[in-house]
Parts: sequence; C-alpha cells; structure tokens
Amino acid sequence: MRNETRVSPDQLYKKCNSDIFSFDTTDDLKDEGVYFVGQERAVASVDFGVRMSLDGYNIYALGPEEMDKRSLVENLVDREAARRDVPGDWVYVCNFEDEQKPVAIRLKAGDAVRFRDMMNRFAEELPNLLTGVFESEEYQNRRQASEEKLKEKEQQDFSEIQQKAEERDLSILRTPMGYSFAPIKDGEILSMDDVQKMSDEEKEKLESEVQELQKELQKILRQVPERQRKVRQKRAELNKEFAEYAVRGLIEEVRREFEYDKEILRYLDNVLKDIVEHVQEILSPGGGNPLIQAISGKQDRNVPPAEHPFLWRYTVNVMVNNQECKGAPVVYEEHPIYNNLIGRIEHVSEMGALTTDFTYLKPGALHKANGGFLIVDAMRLLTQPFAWEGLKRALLSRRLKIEAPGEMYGLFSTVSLEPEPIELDVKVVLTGSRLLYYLLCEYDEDFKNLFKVEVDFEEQIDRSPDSEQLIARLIAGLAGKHDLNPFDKRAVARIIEHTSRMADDNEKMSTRSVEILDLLREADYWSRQNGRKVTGRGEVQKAIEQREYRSGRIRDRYREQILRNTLFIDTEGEKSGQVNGLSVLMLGNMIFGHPSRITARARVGKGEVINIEREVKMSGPIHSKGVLILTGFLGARYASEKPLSLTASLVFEQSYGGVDGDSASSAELYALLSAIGNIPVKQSIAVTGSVNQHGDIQPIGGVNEKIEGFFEICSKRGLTGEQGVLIPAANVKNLMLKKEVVSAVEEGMFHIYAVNHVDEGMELLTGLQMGKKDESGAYPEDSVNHRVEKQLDRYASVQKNFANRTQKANGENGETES
Amino acid sequence: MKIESILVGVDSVTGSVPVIRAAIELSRKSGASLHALFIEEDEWYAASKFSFSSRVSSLTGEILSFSETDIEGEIKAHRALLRNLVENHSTEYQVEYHFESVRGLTQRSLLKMADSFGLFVIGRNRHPDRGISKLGSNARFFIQHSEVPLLVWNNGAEWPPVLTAFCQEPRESINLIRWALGLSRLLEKEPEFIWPISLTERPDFERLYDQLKSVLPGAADGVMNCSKGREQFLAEAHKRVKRLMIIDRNPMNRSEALAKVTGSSGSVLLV
Repeated sequence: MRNETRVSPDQLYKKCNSDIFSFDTTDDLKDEGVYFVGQERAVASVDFGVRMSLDGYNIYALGPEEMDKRSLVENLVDREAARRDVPGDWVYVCNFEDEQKPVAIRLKAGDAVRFRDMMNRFAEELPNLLTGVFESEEYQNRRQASEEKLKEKEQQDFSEIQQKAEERDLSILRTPMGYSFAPIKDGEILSMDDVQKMSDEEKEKLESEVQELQKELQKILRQVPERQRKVRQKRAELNKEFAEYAVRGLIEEVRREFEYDKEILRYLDNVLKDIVEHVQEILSPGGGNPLIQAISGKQDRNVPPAEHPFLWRYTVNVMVNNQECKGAPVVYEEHPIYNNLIGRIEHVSEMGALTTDFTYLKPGALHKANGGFLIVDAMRLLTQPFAWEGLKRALLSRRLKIEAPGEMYGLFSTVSLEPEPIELDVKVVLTGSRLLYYLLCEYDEDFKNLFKVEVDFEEQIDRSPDSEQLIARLIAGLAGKHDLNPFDKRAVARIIEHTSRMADDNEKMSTRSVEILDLLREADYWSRQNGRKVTGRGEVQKAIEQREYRSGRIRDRYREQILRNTLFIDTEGEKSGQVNGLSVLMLGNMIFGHPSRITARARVGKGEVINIEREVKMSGPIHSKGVLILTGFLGARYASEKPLSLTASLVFEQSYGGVDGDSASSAELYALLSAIGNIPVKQSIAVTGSVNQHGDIQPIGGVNEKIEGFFEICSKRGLTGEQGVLIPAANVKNLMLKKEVVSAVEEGMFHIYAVNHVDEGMELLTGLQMGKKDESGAYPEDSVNHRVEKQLDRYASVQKNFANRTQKANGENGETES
Repeated sequence: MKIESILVGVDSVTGSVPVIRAAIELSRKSGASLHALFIEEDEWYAASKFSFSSRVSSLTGEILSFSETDIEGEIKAHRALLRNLVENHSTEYQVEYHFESVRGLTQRSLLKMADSFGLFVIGRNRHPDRGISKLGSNARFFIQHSEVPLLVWNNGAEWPPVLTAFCQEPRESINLIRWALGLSRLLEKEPEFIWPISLTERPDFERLYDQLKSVLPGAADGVMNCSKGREQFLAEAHKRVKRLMIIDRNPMNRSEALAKVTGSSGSVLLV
C-alpha cells in the first residue's frame, strides 16, 4: 500500500482548542451585538443602501435560507432609522366636490389623532349648534319677516279676488284639486233650481263673471310657484347666513390649532362651505324621508359622527399615526398580500349594494413605513397575486394609491373610491434566496432599476483562532438574546467544530445563523433535561446526534438493506469490473452517504461506453457527461493510433431512482479498466471523485457523508483493517469526520486515501502498478495499462478479422459496400 | 285636567294629515281614545252640478273639470289616505281609535257631536290661501261657538317648547291654568302664564300671588315662576312665531282668539 496517499488522522477532523478561550461560560462574554460575523461586505452594503437617498436604491438581502437575514438587516436598519427624523402623519378627509375622490393631508407627526379627535368633537356638536341657531328667536324673526314680505302680495291678491267674488254673490270653494266659484245667496250655495229659474241674461252674466274670476285666479295661482321659489331661495340664503355665523366660531377652534398647515386650513374652509350648503341634511338626515331614516336607523342626533348619515363627511380617517415613533418607522410585513402592502378599500352592504366612503380606507404597510423602511420576504411577496406589481408601481411612481386589485382589471362594478395618492418616500428591503435574486435580475426588467443595492451575505468564514473567538461571541449573543443557558467553553469549541462540518470544510466555519441557533436551542433543551445550568460539550454532541437520529429513519433502512444483503455491497475480497462507488442522498433535513455497486462489462465494439442509466433515461446530464469523459480518457491513453474497438457498459446496480452528478466517474473508470483488463479490484475500498479526460481526480461534495456511509457498513460487518475510502486529494480540506471514523483510522482499522490521479487510485484498488511505456512504446508486463492495452488490441484484431470475413462473404454474394 | 276622548275633524283639503298626527300624539300621551271624523263637503257636490262649473288647479293654475264624479273620486282617495294614516299611527302608538266618514254634516251638527268629547281638534290652513280657506271658516265658527275645549291646529305646526296661557284674574282662570299645567306636564313642555298686568309693578305681582295662593295653593309658586305681564309678553311676542296659545273661553277672548288664529302661524287651544 502506498503510504503517501493515506490521509493521517489529524487531517480527518480539525479540532477547536477550547484553551484559546479566556471565558468559562458564555455568560462571561458581554453581548457586544456580534451578529455580523464575517459579514463585512453585507454590512457595508446595507450601510450604503440605507443612507443612499436616491431613487431605486432599495435593498435586496440575499443569502441561504438558514441565515437569519431579516434580523441582521433589521438590526442595521434600526440603527439608521433611529438617527432619522420622525416622518409626518397622513389622514384622508372627504372631498366635498367629489366624494369618490378623498383628499390626503399630511400633518406633523402625532397631529393626525389630535386633528381627528377635534373634528369628531366638532361634528358631534354641530347638530345641536345648528338646531340652537335655527330655533333661536332671532332666526325665526328674520325668517318670518323675510317670508311675510313675499307672502303679502299673494295674500293681497287673494283678498282682492275674494272681495270681487263676494261683490258678485259668488263664493270660492276649495276642493282637493283646486278652486271653484259658485253663486250664493244669504251665505248658501244656490240650488240648480234657483239657477235654472234665472233668465238667460242672468245666466250668461253669471257664467261670464265666473269665467272672468277664474282667469284672474289663474293668473294669481300661476305666480305661486315663482313666489314659492323665491321664498325657498330667501330661506336658503338666510339658512346659509345663520349656519355660517354659527359654525365659523366652532371651526375657528380647529383652525387655531392647525394654523401651520395650509392644507388643513383649505380643508376647513371647504368644511364650512359644505355645512352651509347642507344644513338641512345635517339636521334632518335622510331628507325627511321616513323610509330612508328607518332603513339607515341613523336619524338620531346622538349617534357618533362616523355613523351619522351625513356627519361622517366631517370625520377624519387617520392612515398614518407616528405619534409613538422615536425615529423613522421600520415595518416588517409578515403577510405581504396586496391589501396589506398597498392598503384597501373596504365596503359595507347597504340595501343589498356594496358602498364605501373615505372612512373605509385602510392603510397598508407602505403607508406605515412611509418616511422609513419596509422589510419584506421576497418569496412571500412574489407568491401573492398583484403584490409585487403593486409594490413596483408604488416605488416607480413614488406615490401610494389605494385601489382594489379587481378594479385595476375592471372586474367589479361596485361603488368605489379614487383616493388621492400619497407621496411615498420609503426604502424597501427584500430578503430572499440567491436564486430568486438572480431570477429577478434575469426576468424582471424593473427589478434592477428598483433594487440597486445587493446585500450578499457570506455563509462561511475562514477558520482561524481570531474568527473562532468571534463565533464564540456570536454564540454568547444568541444565547443571551434567546434566554438560553450559558455554554461552557468546551461546548463552544464543539459548536465551532460543527460549524466547520456545516460548511463541509475544515478551513471554514458556517455563519448560517438559523442553523447555529437551532443547534444552541436543542443543546439548551438537553442541558435543561439534565437539570444543568450550563450547557456542556456533551449536550451539544447529543443535540447533533439526536437531530441525525430523528431524521435518520430512511438512512437506517437503507443501510439495513445492505447489511441484510438485499442491496449487494461487498466490503471484502476482489472482483473484476466491480467497484463500490459512493453516493449522497438529501432528504429533508437529512444528508447521508451510502455505497453503490458500479459494474462494467466490455466486449468488441465500435469504441463506445454505454451508460445504461442514460439509455433508460435515469441518468442526469452531469452523470452522462462524466461517462462520456471516460471514453475520452480510454481513447487518448490506449487508442491514439488505432481504433478503439470496444463496447463497454456501465451501470449503478440496484439503482431505481436515477443518478446524477459526476462524483462517481472515477469509480466508473476503475470499474471499466478492471473489466477490460480483467483485473480484480478490492471491494474493501469505496471510491469517490470525478475524473477528467487526463485522468486527474477532481474534488466532489459531501465527502464526509460518503466516507461515514461506507464506514458504517464496514463497521457493522466488522472492520478488517483493510477497508477504507478513496477520495480526491483536493477534498482533504473538507474532512470533518465523526469521532468513530477518526478513531478507527487512528487504530489502523479504517483508511482514507487521497489521490490526485486515476493511476494512483487504480494501483490502490488492484495492488498492481499502472505501468509506464518504455522506449518502444510498450507497457510493462503485468501492469494495469499493459493488461488493458493487450485486451483492447485483441478486441481490435477480432474486429478487424470479423470485418474482413464479412467483406469476403459479401463479395462472394455479389454485394458491394458503399 | 283629564282628557278621556278626542274628536278630530278632518276633510279633503291639506292640513288634515298634520292635525291627525297632532291628535294621535295627544291621545298617546294622555291615554284618550281618538275619534276621527271625515267630513265630505256637501257644498262641493252642489257646486259641481252647475253647467259652468270648472276648477282652477291650485298647483298649476290650469282649468280642470268639476263634476260630481270627479269630486267623488277625489274624496274617496283622500278618505282612504286619512283612514290608513289613523289606523297605522294609532296601531303603532297603541291608541284606541275610530274612523267615521259623514257627508253634508253641518257645522252645528258637528258642534253638537263634539259635546260628548273631552277635546275637539280641528285643523286650519294658513298657507297659501289664508283668506279663503273653507276650513278656516269652520275654525272661526267653532272658535265662536264651541263649548268643549277646542284645539285649532295650524298646518305645519309642531308642539312648541313653550305653551302660553293667557290668563285673566286667577279666580276666573282656574280652568285655564289647570289646562296649561296639565298639558305642559303631558307634553313635557314649559308653561308660560301671561297676566293682564305689568310684572314690573311689584304690588300687582304680590296681589296676583296672593290670589293664586287662595285659589290654587299647590300650583301658585310654579305658576308665578312662569308668569309674565302682558306688556312684557307683547314686547317679546314677535320673537315667538310658532306657539300654542291657551285661551279662556269667554266672549271677549273668543274674538281675541279668532284674531290670533288668523294673525299667526301658531295653534290655539280654547278651554
């Protein structure tokens, strides 16, 4: 065995020396807010993003799901927000010109609620104030005087015609439909007999007098509507005068309080104008229509203004109240549906129809975050209908306009509103995966213009004594923040070691804070279960093992099948054309490695290596690529000047779920060479690593899981001291193996071999030299290359003879080959 | 003062709806039963028979036909309207009611019928044809001749906040004071007593109090608190456009009441 390829035990696991820590437990470390370990680039990006005030410099924080990007960003954003001024409040009020288009007003922070309360009090007092004014003696007198003047003429006209009628012995009868003239005598209407007894002249005279009076009455009555109109007009003018006089004082109180705001002063002018125009509706809601009053049930003057059928117009809908803010607002929207982001227009059912007004406008997260920061999870945002489009529209226009999503598409025909848009000045921070970020960059034209600040979180940092100290402080901070038991320094060291395993690299440490926090919490759980006040290394180890155990059912069943010889894996002896490859399975939280039997068969053929998985469409593209590379290697090494008259087939035995990745390509090459040269291969060694056309062994992923997977099988069957795993030399830095594996290696019962070239691997697996060409161009006898070349030459000869025989036979039959 | 039954006289001209509402309101508060009498004016039928009969529309001024059939139809419709009003409101307020329709009932017959009721209520129309209202002439007639308490309700009037009683000497006005106090309690309104003296003259005031003490010992203080002299009232009268005036039924007052009915937009209660 070549000792230079064997990996020493100290290379299999990089320990963290707890002696480097000056503390006993993490309680000794002050929480210094070290949450940004190794995130210098991200911190600088956020810092730039939150301070850059130009359009489009919104932030996308990208990183793995296991990283608590939100907390990290929120922490940084909070610091900036605290430095900023509190933005103003926003309210919606009625647009008296067009109720469908409510008006937005900006106020000083904290003034919105004060304004609303003052206007509510104003509206509450309004009916009583107006009632008092219109019941006052002064008003009644003015009205009486004004109307009497107009009525005098009418009464005079009636009196005159009544007098004329009496002079002619006629009476005016008032009937339901109008007036009639009838002849009278001694106060009684004449009978028909009396009239018939009259001479013709008398009758004619009577008729003519009646007709004449009727015409005069017609003239008078035709002037009645005009006079009534004048009376109404006079009354309306008087009402306006008194209403304005009464309300002006009340409204002045509000004006004094908000003198600084021209918008409010303009609004209050409009309020005054509106009240003067609608006194009747305020005092008699429903216009005196008992049906409407009964249905609305709001005729009572004592109902709150918001429920009053008319006074709601003078209430104020507070959309943004920054009264309690200490700086700029920072809003995290948990559920970023369209309505929660942009705001919504609610409706109420009235007499079977849906209606609404400005008091039913509800703010969204953008309203609350206006002047500050809004943090949203990108995936949640993108999976909600209309939400992403709505957010982009608001950011592009820098205006926030509430509209129902259905309305944008003309789906609804209910009464709705067109609220005046609110000026938007908000910095949006999206948190999400890298994949999502790159997809948005690729497929959304607006995205790059709107989210110019990329905050890319590192998921691992270099491992050094200094950085280990930083991780220790991160652990201390997280434990303190989440009320966990303190961790002793050996526990901290174990966690640091595990972060290297998480990073799959003994020179790095993972910074995926969510995963680290999960481990801390679970270790804390076991610590408390043991009644301990301080969490030790044992509890951390238990947390790691328990997590594996909880997720390990499928892994265990898989291994059981191998141990029970349902899945055929040899761990002893030698066989030609058969190699133990190593695969990794990822299922939910569990990643585990296991051996797979790879076999190869060779025969005379046209120079191709058949990937059986590919033939049945169970091979992924990377795996197929790996197999094609093998043909390149074989051709270059053994058939550069002659045809490669070989057909070989390769397969993952007992694989029913498909194969991908090229980490088994070296194992396939070993199997192929073994099959061609009929050279037995040790089954006690499993192989992983990809290979290129030159035979160089390239690094692969999941090396720890693969080694542990094969070790477990061997261990269960009993370690022979011959077993081991062949890995790419480039993967040695990734080794962070379990203690059992390291111990077995230390005891010489298990071996890890690191190779750079396929020749080294083949020599390890076969115990034969690969062999180098001598001056004549021949490989040494009994070398692997010699055996392989010899067999390929034989295939070529067979192929040639077969071709000659076939040609001859075709010639005798008079056939020609084209 | 206790009202057990109320007679309300209505006809086919405007003003009947408010007077019915006022009478039902009073019945509800006093617990009195209500008798609504719909009068079909016989004169209309007589006048409609003349060959030259026609009408001038009170709304548009156009000439309308005026036949017996027209009148019958119009009266029928109006009667149904008023009957429904009486039925619905009385049922709603749980008032015991009766609706009757008669044709050609003379003023004197109606007056005689009213004798058996505790209060007689009729409406009057001031607007737009004050001078020529038929019911106005009825009002004048009943004011002059009614022996039972008579409420002349003006079209468009509401129960005013103050009930104004025009008193003479306390001994002569005991009934009037009782009505004013009773009605104000019933309707939860403020009473106001007007005396033929000037309250600025202290001796008169004291004499009035002494007399009240002797005739209405329980109510004297209350009445005095709401008392005013006639001069003071007249000085303020123009400020109170709509009011309910309560007047004692004596020959001198009857003509004053008549003047008040025709000269104001308020209502009058003659007791």
